[in-house]
Amino acid sequence: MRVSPKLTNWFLLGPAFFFLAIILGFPLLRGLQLSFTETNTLNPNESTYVGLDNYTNLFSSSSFLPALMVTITYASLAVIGALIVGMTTALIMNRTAASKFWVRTFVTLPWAAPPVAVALIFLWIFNPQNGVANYALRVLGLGGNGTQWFSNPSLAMPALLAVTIWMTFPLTSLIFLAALQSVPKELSESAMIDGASSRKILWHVTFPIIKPTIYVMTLLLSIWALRRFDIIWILTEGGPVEKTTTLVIKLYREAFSYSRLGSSAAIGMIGFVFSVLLTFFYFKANKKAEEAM
Amino acid sequence: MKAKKIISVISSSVLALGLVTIPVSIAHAKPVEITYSNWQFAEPGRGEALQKLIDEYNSSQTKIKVKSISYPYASYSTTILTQLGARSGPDVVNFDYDVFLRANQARLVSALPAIKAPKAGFASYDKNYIKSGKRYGVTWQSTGYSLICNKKLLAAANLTCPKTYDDFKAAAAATTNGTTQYGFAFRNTMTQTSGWWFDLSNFVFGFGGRWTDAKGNPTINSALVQKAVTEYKDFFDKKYIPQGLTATEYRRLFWEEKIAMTLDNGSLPTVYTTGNPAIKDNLVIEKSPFPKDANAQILIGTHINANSKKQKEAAAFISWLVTDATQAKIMEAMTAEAAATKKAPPPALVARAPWLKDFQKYAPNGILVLPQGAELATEEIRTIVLTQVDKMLRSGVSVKDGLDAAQKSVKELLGK
Repeated sequence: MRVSPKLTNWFLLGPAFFFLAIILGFPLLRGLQLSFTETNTLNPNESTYVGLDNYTNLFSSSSFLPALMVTITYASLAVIGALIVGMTTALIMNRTAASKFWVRTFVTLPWAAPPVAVALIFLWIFNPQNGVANYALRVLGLGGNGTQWFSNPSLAMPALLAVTIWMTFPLTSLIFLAALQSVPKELSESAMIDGASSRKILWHVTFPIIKPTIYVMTLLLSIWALRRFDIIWILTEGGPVEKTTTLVIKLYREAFSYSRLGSSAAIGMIGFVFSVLLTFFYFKANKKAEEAM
Repeated sequence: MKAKKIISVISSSVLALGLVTIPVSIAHAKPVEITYSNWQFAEPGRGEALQKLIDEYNSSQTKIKVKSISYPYASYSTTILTQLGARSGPDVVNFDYDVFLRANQARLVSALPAIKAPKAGFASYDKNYIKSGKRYGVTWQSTGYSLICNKKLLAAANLTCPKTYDDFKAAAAATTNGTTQYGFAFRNTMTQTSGWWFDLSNFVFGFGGRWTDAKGNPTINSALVQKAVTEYKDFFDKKYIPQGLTATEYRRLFWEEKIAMTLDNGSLPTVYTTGNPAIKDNLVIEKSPFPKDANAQILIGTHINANSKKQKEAAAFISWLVTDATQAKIMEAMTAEAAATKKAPPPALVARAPWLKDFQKYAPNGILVLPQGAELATEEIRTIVLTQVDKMLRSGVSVKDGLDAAQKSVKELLGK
């Protein structure tokens, strides 16, 4: 008996689909269902259906839109920062052939450190009283007398971004380095013979070739930034003055501080829609770029 | 032949019975394990003493074995409440009073069977754990906030530990020296909301204010609360306190003798003397220095998880906790001035920790920091108020505007 290839494909894909349905599909549907209910975290089995109330309450609450803006600001700047620092480091590593191994090892270290450990280390670095950051500023004569990095409304977000970028740029730079090394040398050499400057070669030869990698990294960094919780919670808990309260921090507070599981599920669904939209635009942009090539 | 048969039947039966009963009796001898969670297991010094107490209970009898579980205080209530909500978690739990109220409302803690009253009698605050005639826990520890002074630093400014608010503020100013020494310290960041609420409540209660009135209506923007928050902000603005530090950080500065005064609970002198034994002779305890005799009070209880399968054993453990002998040991282990009963700290403990007498003396001034009539919304009210106070301290929002905004939000929250 001959089994059709289509059936074989479905058969082979079956376990993967089943696995995804269990670990992704079910929680997603349960989250969606919870978002239409009033459910207490302390009594999750007793729910009351409230329709779209959780969503309307969120959009009419004075703290939701600021949290959304903080999320967008944080995610955008964290992604841009990681891309710029990652690309710069990758370009430097691509040129310094002799020290590649040590440089790569050194650059990878922040990425290998657990986020909680990173956050705790930076809490000490930015400590107002005894932190190295303030000490360095004092030595350089640039102030640093009790500067409150994580509790000053104007400094909290930049400090948080600095920690985030420090933590995320190593992976970005390693992936960019791999992409840079896949660019055929002949292309840049012939461009050089034609009289193109290094900057022009980078802009017109290298970047177009590694563009798909940049897109993928942008997508991944954006999704990671949108759902980041650990370091923000440890460093600021969303403060000061809610300047670092992202949607995920708000979600956590709703679910675990105020026991409002339905409302937190609604925030989760909004975050999910954001991620889906982002992925959609990424594929659109990627397709356009491929067609252009 | 017949006799032989009878003997062999009897001996076989005895052997068989023996084989059956011996394992059963062995099984009976195996103690039932119950789990007990308390964040204090993780505290340096006190954790070891507490574990010793549990070990003592385990070796004192053969029926129950208590296994300790601990999470850091910052994540303790969230972790345990989530576990209890999922119908799991430890059999016996310690909770701050506001967390107990939330758990009790969600029917996550059991009513205890009748507990034999200790000889010393239950302390007055014990009534908080009796709801509709049923007991839902016993007090683990109660402690109030008093003024802890470093007399050496005050003496350097020709001062003594202050007794009035004006003297207190003047002493804070006189002992502050840039960023090298501070007159006072309190929490002032959103990463410390739980402790910050106690510190702010000390000012509010001390000036005669309350978060709600007797009917549960918010009084967050009342004149008395405004006065208290204005004074609190003044300490911050004049930098009499180290800004942006956590309690752990500034408590370290205190035992390093870089802070002259703190307003803290009865367990802190132990922390200070553990960090720097030499500071012991410089410690002076005074009543909270505000115009009214009222200060924040911490109340911690021990409860049984309603979904525990070992209710009987958990209740037996709690009964042991409230015996007079164990109460003395708890106070010893925690260096606490008060536990579940009226029993005074043992003389040997008072000799070792003389400040306990002072904390005990000022205990009647203690007030729970829960907004009366809105206790279940404490965490949300706390976040709303502290977010506004954060804005007053750091974003130039006026005290009046901030408290008005908090009052409005809390009224909406409570549907008032």
